[in-house]
Amino acid sequence: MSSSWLRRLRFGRSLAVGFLFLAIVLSMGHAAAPDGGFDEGTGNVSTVVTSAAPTITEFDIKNVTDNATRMGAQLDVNVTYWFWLRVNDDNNWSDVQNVWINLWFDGGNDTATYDAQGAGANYRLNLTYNNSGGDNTPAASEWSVSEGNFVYSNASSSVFVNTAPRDFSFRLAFTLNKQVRQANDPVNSGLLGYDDTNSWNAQVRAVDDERNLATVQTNALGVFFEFGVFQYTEVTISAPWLAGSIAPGANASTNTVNVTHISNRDYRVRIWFVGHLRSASNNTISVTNVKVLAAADSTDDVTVDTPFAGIGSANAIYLRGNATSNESHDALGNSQTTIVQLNIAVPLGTQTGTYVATVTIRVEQP
Amino acid sequence: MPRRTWRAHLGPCLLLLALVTSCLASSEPARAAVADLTIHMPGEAPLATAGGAPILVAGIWHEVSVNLSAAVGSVAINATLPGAPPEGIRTTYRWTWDAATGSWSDPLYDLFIRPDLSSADSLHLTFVVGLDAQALPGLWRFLVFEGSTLSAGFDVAVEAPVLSYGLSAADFDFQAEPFTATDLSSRPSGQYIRVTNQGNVPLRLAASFDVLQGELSIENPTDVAHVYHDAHYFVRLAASPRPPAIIEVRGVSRVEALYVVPSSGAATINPSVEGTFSLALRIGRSGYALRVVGNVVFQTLESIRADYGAIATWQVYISGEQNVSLTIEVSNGRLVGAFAGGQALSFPATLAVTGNTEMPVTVQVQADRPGAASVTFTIHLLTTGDTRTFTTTILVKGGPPALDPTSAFLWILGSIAAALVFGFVSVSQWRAHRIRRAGRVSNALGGRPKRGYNYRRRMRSQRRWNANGNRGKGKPSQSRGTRTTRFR
Repeated sequence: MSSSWLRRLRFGRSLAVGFLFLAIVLSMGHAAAPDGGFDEGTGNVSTVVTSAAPTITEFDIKNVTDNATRMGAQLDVNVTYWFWLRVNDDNNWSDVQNVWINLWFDGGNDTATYDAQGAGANYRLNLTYNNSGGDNTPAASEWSVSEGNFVYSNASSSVFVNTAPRDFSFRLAFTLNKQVRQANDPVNSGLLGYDDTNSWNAQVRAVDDERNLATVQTNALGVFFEFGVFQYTEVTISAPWLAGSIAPGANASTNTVNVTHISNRDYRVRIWFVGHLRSASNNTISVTNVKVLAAADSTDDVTVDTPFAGIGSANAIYLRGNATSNESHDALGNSQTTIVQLNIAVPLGTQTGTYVATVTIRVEQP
Repeated sequence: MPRRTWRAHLGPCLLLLALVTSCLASSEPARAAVADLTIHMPGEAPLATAGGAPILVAGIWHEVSVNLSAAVGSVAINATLPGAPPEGIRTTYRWTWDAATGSWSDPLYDLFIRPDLSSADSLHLTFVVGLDAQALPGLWRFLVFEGSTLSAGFDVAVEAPVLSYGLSAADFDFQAEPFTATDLSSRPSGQYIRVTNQGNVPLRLAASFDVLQGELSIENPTDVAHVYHDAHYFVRLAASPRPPAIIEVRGVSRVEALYVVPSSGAATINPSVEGTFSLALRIGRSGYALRVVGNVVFQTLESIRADYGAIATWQVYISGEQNVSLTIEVSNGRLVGAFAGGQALSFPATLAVTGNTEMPVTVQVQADRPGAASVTFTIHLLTTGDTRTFTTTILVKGGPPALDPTSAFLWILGSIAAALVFGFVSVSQWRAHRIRRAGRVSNALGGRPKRGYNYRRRMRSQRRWNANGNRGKGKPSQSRGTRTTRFR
């Protein structure tokens, strides 16, 4: 064997030894990694019980009628649903201080948080559990509405014991008020975050006496809590518009009528005549002799006395909003009222009689 | 007041009280002829206050039924608001029935009774009557007379009319397959219209749609929204075959008060209310997103999932009334190819599309990078010039393993240590090589080469073997006792 081969052989042996060293060093590195370990020693037994944060293992919104989930679907306003919620605290329930069920409209921005949603009571809801007594037996009466336009029914709610005194389930009855913001039916609820724009998002938070905070925004499968809200409109009219006796050639104003309207998003309110005023003898007074009086309501969008140009929706007068823009949704209240008063001019030559007509008021959402 | 004087007045007071009580009692003698009186609006259940008094809504026709225990010749009902000054239609009414002529009348106003709807048999009378909408709300007193004799009296709560109508509606979203007849109901998805009458006036209800009138309908419709009642209605779609499209529908629900009593004034303007709701009919493949640009519809998947390194294959569909130019671009992935009609496409590709069929385009993308890839389709309408882009996201599952920070740090440390060891070994090898080379050079020059431990050990063993006359076993270079090895 030549010396050259011998040198190569020795070099190869050195290389192998180097690799062996490398393996040893890397093994040392892995052994030093913080993958667990133990200590041994002697001395007095001393135990510190750690404070465990509450755990929220279940949350859902369900129908009262058939207990079907509504998460990922739409809720109707003025209809009672249940929150289903399960919370555990390994330090026993007395350690739980508060539980919050937070619902908020994302406003078209999926990253909007509950705390950042500050539009008003129709945009952010908070049902709060307060363990004021620090007891181990939670009660439905300890839940209350702390924010938002919705109703919680203590009498219709229940608490179930899973493992006393630390693990409880809650069935909480709630009803959204009628102007709680409409929201789209979520179709994409997924695992990566709140991903349905213009929907409502939900989360549950719980905090214990040591301020350990637990927050849950997804179900067991990791799907984020999102839901929608039906669109809702309502009109309440207190009475018909009545005019007393009017001589031909004169005019008279009707009584004022309160038109209370409800809409859970931007809206328009308009009024029009279905037909002309007609008497039992089939005589008529054209609706062009009728006008909406601006002075009846200083808050509406009728700023001058406005006559009807004709019958039908094409000749409607907008009380709120106009043909191209909407009245903004009321973020705070549960209804609005527009006072409507009409003035009727009776043309000369009109036959005597009681003239009757029907007006239509439409509240519409874009 | 002295006690004796007070007692002296007590007797007359009690006597006066007894007289007044007897007078009041005699003004409404309890006669057996009128057993009871019921009030309700036509088609509605009777309403009553918490105290049990029947409710009558001003401005609305009511059926006021008088049940008799014996036949009588005539009956009259006087309705007044006690304590209020007589103000005509605001406080005072009278209705009569005459058995002999079978006639019904409103002697005060000749306006607030419906003889055509009122009825009588031997023991039951039904007056269809109403109060003007201006009648004052309050607890009225209805007195029933047989002839001129008062038979019975009843308290009736009169309320002002309130028309209140609420409309609640889901986001109706129907999906139909292209070019396929469809019969769908919103019931399975729980999407409904809820009509709420929260007023005290029954409402006539009607619903209509601005398009698809012949194909959309309300399931089990009713034409009356009853007082204090809500009802759920599902929507049914029976659609004929259609090409891919999104059809937006505006529904209108209209109510107006039923059984309205005409007013006696110059003009009465009765309200009706309309609410609107929206429906969308999406004619497209199940699971596909429909994108509309002009009169062209593009169907693609919102997202698909693919394993890391795999090739995702799916089809998109284009239909419409004009030819288009299609471009496909992929980011964070590799476009393997796109095919239409069995031909590979090169971009921009001109496609001839029609409204009668869907043109499928097969797309193949390799998920060769971790994370999400996106496929952008750009549609350019060749006739109108409109251009839109649509995106499909490919969610890539898996990828090259990633180290956590701790492991990465330790690997770096280990690598540095290994490099140092290699360096040390290399330097040692280099030095040994130089020394040996220097020894050979020295030996060649006559010098004595440096010998190592093993050499000296082998030489000692050789000498021992030679001294023993080669009696040992084996060769002296072979192992004897513990052997140490030096790295060379």
